Amino acid sequence: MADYVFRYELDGGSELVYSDPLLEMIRAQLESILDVVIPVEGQREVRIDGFKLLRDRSTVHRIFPHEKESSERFE
Amino acid sequence: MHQPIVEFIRRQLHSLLSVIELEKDGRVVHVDGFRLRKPEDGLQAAGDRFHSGQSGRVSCGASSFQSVKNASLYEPRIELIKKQLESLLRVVQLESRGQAIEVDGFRLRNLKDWLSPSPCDPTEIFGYAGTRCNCDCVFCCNKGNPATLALGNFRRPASEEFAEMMSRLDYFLPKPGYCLFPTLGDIYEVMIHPHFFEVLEATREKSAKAFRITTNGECLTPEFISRLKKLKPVYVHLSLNSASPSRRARLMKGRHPKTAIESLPLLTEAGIPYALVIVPWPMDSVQEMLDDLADTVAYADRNLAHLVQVNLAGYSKYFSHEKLYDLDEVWSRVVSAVRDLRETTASPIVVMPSMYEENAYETRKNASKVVGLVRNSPAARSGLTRGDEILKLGSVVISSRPQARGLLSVLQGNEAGQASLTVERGGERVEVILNMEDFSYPYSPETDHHLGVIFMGTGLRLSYLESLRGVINSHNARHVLFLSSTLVKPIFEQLLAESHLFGDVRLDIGVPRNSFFGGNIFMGDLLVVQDFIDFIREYVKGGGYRPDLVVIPSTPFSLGGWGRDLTGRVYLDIEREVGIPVELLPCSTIFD
Repeated sequence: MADYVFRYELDGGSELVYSDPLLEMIRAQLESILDVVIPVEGQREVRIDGFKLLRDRSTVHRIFPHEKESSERFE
Repeated sequence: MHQPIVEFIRRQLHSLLSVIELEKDGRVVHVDGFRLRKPEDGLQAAGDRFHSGQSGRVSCGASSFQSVKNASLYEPRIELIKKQLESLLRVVQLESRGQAIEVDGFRLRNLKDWLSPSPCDPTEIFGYAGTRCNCDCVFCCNKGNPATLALGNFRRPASEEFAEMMSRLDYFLPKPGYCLFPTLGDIYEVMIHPHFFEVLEATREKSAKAFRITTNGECLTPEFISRLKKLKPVYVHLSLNSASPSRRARLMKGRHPKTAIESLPLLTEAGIPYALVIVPWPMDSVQEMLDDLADTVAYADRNLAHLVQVNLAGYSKYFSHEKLYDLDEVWSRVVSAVRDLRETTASPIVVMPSMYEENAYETRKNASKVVGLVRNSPAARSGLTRGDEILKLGSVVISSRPQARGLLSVLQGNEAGQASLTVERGGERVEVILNMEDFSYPYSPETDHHLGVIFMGTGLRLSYLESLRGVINSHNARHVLFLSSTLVKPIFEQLLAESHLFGDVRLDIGVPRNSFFGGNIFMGDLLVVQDFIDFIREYVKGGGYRPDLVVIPSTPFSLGGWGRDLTGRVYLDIEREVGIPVELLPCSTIFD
């Protein structure tokens, strides 16, 4: 008997955070990857909350739209 | 200028297409190129094409779409693929043979890529038959599930469900311990599925494990039981709820209450052990409910029930906005009635959740006290009695219930022949000899776990405290907020008081509210990410300071193993929202 086919619908995706579509593509990909993995450096777990494009190391782009900036978190 | 981006997209699409096929209107589409979605760029040069692997095939009569929300709970890499595709499709237009094409879905390319480690319990196959019900129980917990839950079912023809079950069986590999990722929704009545026995018989060819089948009993005719008998070992969880045909009919609205009620002696005759499940529901009055509980327990006892399980009922705000009954009054009176019934009933009776009874009646919790004994089990025949507290197993001193349970399971598994137990009984130490080979129905080594000893739930492992200390050390935390539940907190506090591991740490214990489910629900395992976020925010606001670390037992996030709550949301969102490190403490559920 042929395998049962597991199918999933595409529905346009969630709300856009950045208006730049290429930037938003990267943000969305990182956001979705970070829901299934925890990055590590050596053996140390690393918490990621932003990224920089290699061509512009001066600008940090947030990954999670609702996450508090470290400066906003209460002491 | 766009070359790095183009290469990034090319690699992403290439890796995605190694595990999925894209489709449009139920047909697989062959994708061999893409273009960026900017009118001024035009088509990409041939060098930007990617290879989709094997050539696409077109198929008709596609199966139904699966729920991505359900997948997010059990296999979130599927949700990852969906989100990746959607984010890519915002910036590229796919092509096939130079023509722009649209896609609206994807399918998994090779099911063998999706095998997960699994205990390979047969329920992982026939559980998928439970998509419909032939009753309409007034207390059905599935009525209290909001739409945002990841466990919903969707309607499919029975033939398609059968095709899925048989495919799952093809990838059901008990020896290495792998099977396909689950997609179970709410499980209703498996026995009414038109392909139920075909699936069971095929599963029996692959697994010798006991079939643990939950049923409302409406199908348990003599002929049905006769077919089940051929597939032993089988253990039935029979939701009888009342031994009175009229009361059962009002509680469950099934068409065959007498079939269910009369099945008990038939199951006994067939040598199929069963747990009789009762959900006491104060339909008319609490006293009527308790009187019926006593009658139903007596009926089960006369028919040699392996176990009587009394499920204390709660309901969510989606089930009822109005208060239906006083939970403390109903639960406390049920537990009191059960404790009285144990004096006159040979079949062991447990209350679920067992910690409710333990908190109400046991000064010293987590003890290895015998609550009941399965009839004709090695434990029952050894002379153990209800109320005994196990002090030693052979030469091993027992210090907790989980330890006693673990050792009894090992003994049963080893088929060691005989073992000695030292118990405390009425203030004195008594020694009994367990003979593992001395047993008969309803006990069975294939369906029992602790040689027939019934405890008051699983208890809390002392090793959890050591694990907690390890988590705290890894963060160098000095102020820790541990989030527990109403039921577990008293036992946890007792273990903490007896431990010397946390003297240098401030350890606050909080109990979040079940705001998501609401109603009178207060179970830790039903807490969701937002419940934890809300509690932590209130805690910080209330105290004016924040802890170094929040630790949460893993059980609300353990259904799929990917750290998702019942809405499919990942626990990592808690830390993202509150800005405080959050760790899960791996532990098992309190339900046996």
